[in-house]
Amino acid sequence: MAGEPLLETVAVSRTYGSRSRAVHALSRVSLRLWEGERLGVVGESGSGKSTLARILVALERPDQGEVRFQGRSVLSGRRQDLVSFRKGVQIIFQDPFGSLDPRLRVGQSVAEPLRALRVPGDHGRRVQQLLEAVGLPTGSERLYPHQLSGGQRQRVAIARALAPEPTALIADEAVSALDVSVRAQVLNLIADLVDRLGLSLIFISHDMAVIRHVCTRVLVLYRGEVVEEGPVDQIFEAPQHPYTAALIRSVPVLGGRIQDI
Amino acid sequence: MTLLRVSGLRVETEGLPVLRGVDFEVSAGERVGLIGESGSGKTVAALTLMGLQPEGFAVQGSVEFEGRQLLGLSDREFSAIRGARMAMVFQEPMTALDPLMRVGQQIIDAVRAHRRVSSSESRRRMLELMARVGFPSPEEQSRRFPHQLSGGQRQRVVIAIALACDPALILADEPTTALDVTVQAQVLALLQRLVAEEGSALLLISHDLAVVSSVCQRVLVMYGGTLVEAATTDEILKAPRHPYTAALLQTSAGIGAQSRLAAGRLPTIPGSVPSLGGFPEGCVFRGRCPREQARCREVPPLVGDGHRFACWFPLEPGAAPIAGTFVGR
Repeated sequence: MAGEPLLETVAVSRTYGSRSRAVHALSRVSLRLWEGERLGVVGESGSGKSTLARILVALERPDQGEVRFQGRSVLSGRRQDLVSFRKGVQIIFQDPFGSLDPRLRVGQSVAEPLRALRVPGDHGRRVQQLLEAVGLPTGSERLYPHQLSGGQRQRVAIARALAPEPTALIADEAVSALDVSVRAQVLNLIADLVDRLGLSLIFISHDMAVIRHVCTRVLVLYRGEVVEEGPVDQIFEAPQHPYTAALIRSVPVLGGRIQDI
Repeated sequence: MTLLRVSGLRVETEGLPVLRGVDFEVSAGERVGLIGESGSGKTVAALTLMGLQPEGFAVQGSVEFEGRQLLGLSDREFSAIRGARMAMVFQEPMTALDPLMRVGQQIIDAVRAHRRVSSSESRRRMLELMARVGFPSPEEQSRRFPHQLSGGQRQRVVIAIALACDPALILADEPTTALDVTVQAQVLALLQRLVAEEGSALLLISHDLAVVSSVCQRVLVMYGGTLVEAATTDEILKAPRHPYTAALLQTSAGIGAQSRLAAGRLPTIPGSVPSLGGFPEGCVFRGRCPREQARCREVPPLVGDGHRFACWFPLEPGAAPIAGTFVGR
């Protein structure tokens, strides 16, 4: 592909703990998100996928390696680069209860990034538009998180992520805590918004089935390393790495059989 | 032979119905799945069967197990059955295990809780159980504490404890929901193999229709504290009669069946599961159901012989809305 990636990590590594009991959460992980792309990152616990998510939105710094947004390092410490990065890359987490402040009304939560990033314009009106865009009923802005269902809370988190008009959206296990009937609604919403707003998406999940539905390309993370990468259909049809093959075989299928692996 | 017979099971808390009269049976050696989303009452049903319903929950109806009425038993009488004839496996193994005790000792305690055996005999049985649930070196691994094991290994210990007394019924409530996908497959395969070997019945409670349909011979579908459909797994997958079951199937089958470009939008169920006390009068699925009519203001009874469903306007048998998409890999 021509040009430069919208968002990329170059050989990022992250180690936790001291030398004797060091845990290598990520080892030289390189990832490129192209403009308009929907990239999946699949991994189980211990794969380093949460660390990668946090590094991608600069909530955490890698020990080694580089993170670039629109070609500029986000680790350089230049304030201007960081502000454009914070506006440009937003994240949705698994548990909106954990990421929404329980004391703030929905409207305040959604307006918060607008205020923090000093986005100009009528914030009140923007909040209304955002809540409507994610399918929340009018009047929702006055409610508190505990008055909403899990699916509605995740819609609020999506509205807040979209507030600063990002170009890239990171979804970290964004539908894993939702009921089956609600999960499909939120997946449709994410897909619609990505299409309509021309967003680039990194969808991080343990669930191969969901990744297959949402993404076009996937990167398989195992114990902090990328073990396989490619178009999602190709990886599903003909996985090359034994771990990828095991991961795909393990996805329970309606009326299937449990395979002991 | 009927092992467990639940009839007219009603549970209320603060005047709100959690279970609205649930009827089902489990035969000896049978694998039955109880499926429901959050708020369906499936976990309260499981806890009530075990006599572990939370304080302030009023229980009515009948739970007969091996011909004996369980409701109204004293705590002491109940605990003699629990663990001996009926065992349970919960979602989070860490809460079921004592964090301060070596896992081998916890299995030994379970072996000795209901039977008089010598300490060498109970130790021998513990090592045998650990080997059966897949620990390659039981001798060494039995000395570990729960926190020194992985989530999957902890769940294997819980299963070993459940098996310690040859239970007639194993009740597993979301046993693999907290586990990784690859570990989930291993634990489900283990559970399935062990109940077959032991001849125990399994009541598997889950929100995941794919998991339940892969393990169980029969499926019970719960929504809003009501059993809305009960049938063999095959009938549920191929010819669901209740609109909720059909919708659940469609949304479960939609994800990952094909890539998004080919599949387009996922089928969804409009709205969300109401909170306790927020369910409509009459049919509990009213308001989210595409087939709703005036009559649905009356509670539909669970009808049918073998394949049972609670709906005034059921889908035609065989008119599966997405027939042909349940092809396993």
